[in-house]
Amino acid sequence: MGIKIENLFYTYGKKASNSTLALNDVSFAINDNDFVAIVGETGSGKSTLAQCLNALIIPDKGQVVVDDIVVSYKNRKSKKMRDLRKRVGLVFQFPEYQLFEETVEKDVAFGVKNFGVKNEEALEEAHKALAQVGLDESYYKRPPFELSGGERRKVAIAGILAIKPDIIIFDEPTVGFDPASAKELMGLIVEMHKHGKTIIVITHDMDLVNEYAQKVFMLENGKLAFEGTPSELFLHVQNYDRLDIPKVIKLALALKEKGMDIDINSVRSIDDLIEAINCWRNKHE
Amino acid sequence: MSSMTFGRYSFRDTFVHRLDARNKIFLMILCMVAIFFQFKMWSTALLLSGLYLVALIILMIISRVNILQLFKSLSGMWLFIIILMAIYIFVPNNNYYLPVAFKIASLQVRWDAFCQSGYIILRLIMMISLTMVLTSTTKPMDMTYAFEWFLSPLKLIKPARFVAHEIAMTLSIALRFIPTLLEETERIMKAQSSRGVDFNRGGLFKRFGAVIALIIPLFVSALERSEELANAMIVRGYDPRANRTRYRLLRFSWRDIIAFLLVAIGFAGVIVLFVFDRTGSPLDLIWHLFKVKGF
Ligand SMILES: Nc1ncnc2c1ncn2[C@@H]1O[C@H](COP(=O)(O)OP(=O)(O)OP(=O)(O)O)[C@@H](O)[C@H]1O
Ligand SMILES: [Mg+2]
Repeated sequence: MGIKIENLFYTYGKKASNSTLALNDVSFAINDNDFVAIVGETGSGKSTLAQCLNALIIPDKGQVVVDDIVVSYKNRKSKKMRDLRKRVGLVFQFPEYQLFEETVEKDVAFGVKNFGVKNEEALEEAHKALAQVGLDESYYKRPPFELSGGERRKVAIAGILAIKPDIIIFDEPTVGFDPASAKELMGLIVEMHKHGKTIIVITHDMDLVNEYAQKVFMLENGKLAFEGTPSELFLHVQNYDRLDIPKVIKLALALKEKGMDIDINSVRSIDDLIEAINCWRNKHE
Repeated sequence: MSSMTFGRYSFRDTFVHRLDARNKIFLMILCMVAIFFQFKMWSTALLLSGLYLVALIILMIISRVNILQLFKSLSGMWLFIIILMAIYIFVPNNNYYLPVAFKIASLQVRWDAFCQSGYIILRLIMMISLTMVLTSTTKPMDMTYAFEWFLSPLKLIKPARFVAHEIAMTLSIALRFIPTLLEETERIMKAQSSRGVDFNRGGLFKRFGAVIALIIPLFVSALERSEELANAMIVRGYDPRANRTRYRLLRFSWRDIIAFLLVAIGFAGVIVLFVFDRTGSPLDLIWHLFKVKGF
């Protein structure tokens, strides 16, 4: 069960002279109901990897195994690829560009209908999904093109939620959101995680990684450069200026250096740090 | 999808690249007209097609255009070829010279159907290749300037004074956005696939739905992009009515004269042949020989 990624290779523009090796022998595994983050600098292959998990890109070598479905070059024509897309939902980097129906509810129901659900049921699922992302009835009949960028993204996310995938990949979900909306969206993702979904978030936001992820994978030039918990990652990359360590962690590390014994692993947010400091004070008073 | 980027300008320093864009466009139109002429006599048609092909291949070699890529991008034409064949097979016409190839029920299919459709397809391919040579050897900006130059007589008419520049600018922006739109298409296709749309399978109705799911987002994003571009241009002070100066000037050189003479002579020859096409030129003797031998 879960997702197994085995020796994945992918090259863009194989025939052209300027081909890019986007994935270079990547292997790792994700368990069911994990909350993982994939990080790495721009162009390191994160989006490419996400598209492999959804069989939008078929790897040149190696395979992705989701439950009993194998994505590999040999299986590229298999009819199971669509079943896979029902199981693995991918929310694109700018999902708002995929909307096309006349009304919001129809657009959300579109994906559900594609997987063989009848019209009324699909609309029902759509309404539930819209409620999940915090869009109420007043949005149902509005054309998606008249919404703001953030609202459109919520509609697009609802479109994926309505399909009810077991695994959901978010490619930089909070980019371009105001802090409140970003927090709201992360709350929604956490909620889905609690309901048993496997969550994969691709992000540059290390605060987000620290606060939510159970496990992090870092890509570097198409290679897996690190795998572990967020705090392990931050300790690993302390002197690596490409990656921004969250300020809470920096502070915790500094305090630790001054002799305060704080468990970096437990510091997920400011509140955690305050608690750790209080704990330390109680012990030493 | 990336194979569709054929014909994009690629910088090389060749004779053809150095030609004046205006000259290139004019000569290309001449060649197109020549290719467009349909000769009734097979001997002339064959001879000229052979000559055109040789000339075209020489042109492609001189201008160092990727011939392989052309063939790759032509491979999508098979549907068109089939339709054309079908038209020639099922729509009767009177110009039959060749024997019957086979029969479908009471319908006699003559070799003419294949020859005629083949002749049209060949000419079409040659026209496409010519356009490709033009676009891959001419900077889009130079192309725009050339269009503007051709439209410059409009400047003499007061109310249409700025139209030339506006049309040329529109054209160049359109050219510039073709690769961007192709990328966008690919992205939207992927996004819709992850919502369960299948672009490769399913009946006619399903495929139609898939195309709608592709076209509408494509148009929306293109329109939004165009609005953004317009705003960005206005913000940076673009005014179509302004008098503008040029950083690059188009110039005629000795190369242009040579190219012009070559094409003009060839074109004149084709015109002469075309005039004599109906009246049985000596060239058609070969054809008559075959005919007498009783095909
Ligand atoms: N459609 C494409 N055609 C050609 N090359 C591509 C294409 N998409 C991505 N690449 C290249 O593949 C590499 C990995 O790209 P990818 O989109 O996976 O990066 P990323 O980690 O998602 O980056 P970002 O954080 O900027 O989204 C990059 O070098 C990129 O230039
Ligand atoms: Mg990306």
